[in-house]
Amino acid sequence: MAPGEPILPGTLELLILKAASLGPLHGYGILLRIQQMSGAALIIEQGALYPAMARLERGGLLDSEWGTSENSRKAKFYRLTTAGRRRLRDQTDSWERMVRAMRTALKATGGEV
Amino acid sequence: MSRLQWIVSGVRNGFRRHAQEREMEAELTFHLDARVDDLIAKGRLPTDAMRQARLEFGSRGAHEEGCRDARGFPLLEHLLSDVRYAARGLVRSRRLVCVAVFSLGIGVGVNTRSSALSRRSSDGAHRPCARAARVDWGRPW
Repeated sequence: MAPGEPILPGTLELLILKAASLGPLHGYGILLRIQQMSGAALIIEQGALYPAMARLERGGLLDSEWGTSENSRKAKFYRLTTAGRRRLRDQTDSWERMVRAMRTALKATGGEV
Repeated sequence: MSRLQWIVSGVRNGFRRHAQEREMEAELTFHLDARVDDLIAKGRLPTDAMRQARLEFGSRGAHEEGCRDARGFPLLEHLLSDVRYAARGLVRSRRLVCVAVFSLGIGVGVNTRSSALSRRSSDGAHRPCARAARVDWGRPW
């Protein structure tokens, strides 16, 4: 994968929810979609996706079923549940509020404070 | 998801443990195979591709453990495995267990007996005092 920024702790689950919200995907597909969505700017330890997806599935935010991949192999496909969609919306809002606050804070100049 | 649903899904996963191990194995192998295929398609040699795919994946054992923890009750399972480990150790050294149980038994027995005896003698000593106190309280003025 292309070099980039390591993802911030706690953001992997949000990225997985976002990737799965765009349509059912297997684990490797979720990785590729995250890379694609972020313009390959994020570094993810690929194996870390699986415990995170297992947690989301246990929490009822993802649902999974076995199917056939594009290269005719058996693969586990994940899709977002209604609760997952709600969580994605809430976390996206809180992430955006945080980013706005950080940006404002970091742009502050001597005259403003 | 409520706490109850979380517990129910953990118990259900507990009954499907063997199937889940197989599924996890198949899922992680699929990921590595797909990554190797992609790297080969980008012009890497198969051996290089396999090495890089494993490197990018990180520690497979640690991630498998993470998946197991996410599906079950890790605290309870670790506690049970500690208890099993201790029980196996005790079964292996039976002579030590016999000596320990015997000496604990003697110690507890002697202690109980001596405290029972001392309580009996102190009960006898306190009874007249209690009666004396009642007499005093009977006419305080």
